[in-house]
Amino acid sequence: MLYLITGASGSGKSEYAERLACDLAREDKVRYKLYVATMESQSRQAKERIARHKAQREGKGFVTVESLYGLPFSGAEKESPWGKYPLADSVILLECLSNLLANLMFSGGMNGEQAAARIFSQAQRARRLCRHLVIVTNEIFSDGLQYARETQDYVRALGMTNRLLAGEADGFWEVVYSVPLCLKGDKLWQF
Amino acid sequence: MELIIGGCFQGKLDYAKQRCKEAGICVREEEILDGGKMPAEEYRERTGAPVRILNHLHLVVRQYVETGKEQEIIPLLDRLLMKYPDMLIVCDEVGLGLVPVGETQQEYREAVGRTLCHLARQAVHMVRITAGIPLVIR
Repeated sequence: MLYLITGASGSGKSEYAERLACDLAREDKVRYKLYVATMESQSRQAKERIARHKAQREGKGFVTVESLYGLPFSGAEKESPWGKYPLADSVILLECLSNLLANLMFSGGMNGEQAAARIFSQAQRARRLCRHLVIVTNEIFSDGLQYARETQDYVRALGMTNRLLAGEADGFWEVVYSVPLCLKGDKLWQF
Repeated sequence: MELIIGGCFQGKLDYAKQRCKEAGICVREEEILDGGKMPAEEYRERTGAPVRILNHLHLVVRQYVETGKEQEIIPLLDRLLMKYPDMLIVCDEVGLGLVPVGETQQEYREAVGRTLCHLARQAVHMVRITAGIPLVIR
């Protein structure tokens, strides 16, 4: 199954996604919980955010796999960190789409459409290989600002990626300051 | 009238077209008024094809604010609605970020909000689109 979670910054969407992943793993007796971290860890702020998220995940049983370019299920899984974990017995939590997209576009040299298509096909493949895939994305579309072209392309590409994934998702929530608002799906995971 | 709001790049116009299709109407391009492309004055003069969808309402508002005609926005919309009461109006939400620098920018965001409040009062339905998925507000 594929689940998509969105929300403003600081809305509690990561925490919600983690609890959802844990709940799914418990309910379906899935052995591994893989956390795919996509953030570059160069800057001080990034390091702080990563430390905060790590502390938040502590004790929840996640295995952290750093993967700046997403879900590398291309047939070479055995050589990747993924090889160690049977995906069919895993719940994958991917956080966060806005980082992944930025990495693909600004470090990976893809244009917005290519990056969106790449993420979508990765997610489609991952969803078939693992038990549940939970993806966290970001709401950056309502500030009314006109950015420089490169940034505007990025915003458009994230919108496109979100639409593609939400169209396929079995569940889609916006977390509004810790309150999950179900936009798609028949199950409200209220913790 | 139905009001369709949401952030940019969320699939609002696609949703509006889909609504029309469900009502048995296949919208032609000339039946969509684009607030970003047409000069404001043309809205008044426009005849011919009916207006099914008013797209990019926030850009109409911006145009009027930038030319110092903010007080004409609501009368313009009321006239349009009188003529096309079943119109769908699509508008970006623009007021959820930091308050922008510059008086005109601030005035623009405020005006979009006030215009949407005015329209929401008369809307039969109002939905917010997030990643292509509608959430019924009323």
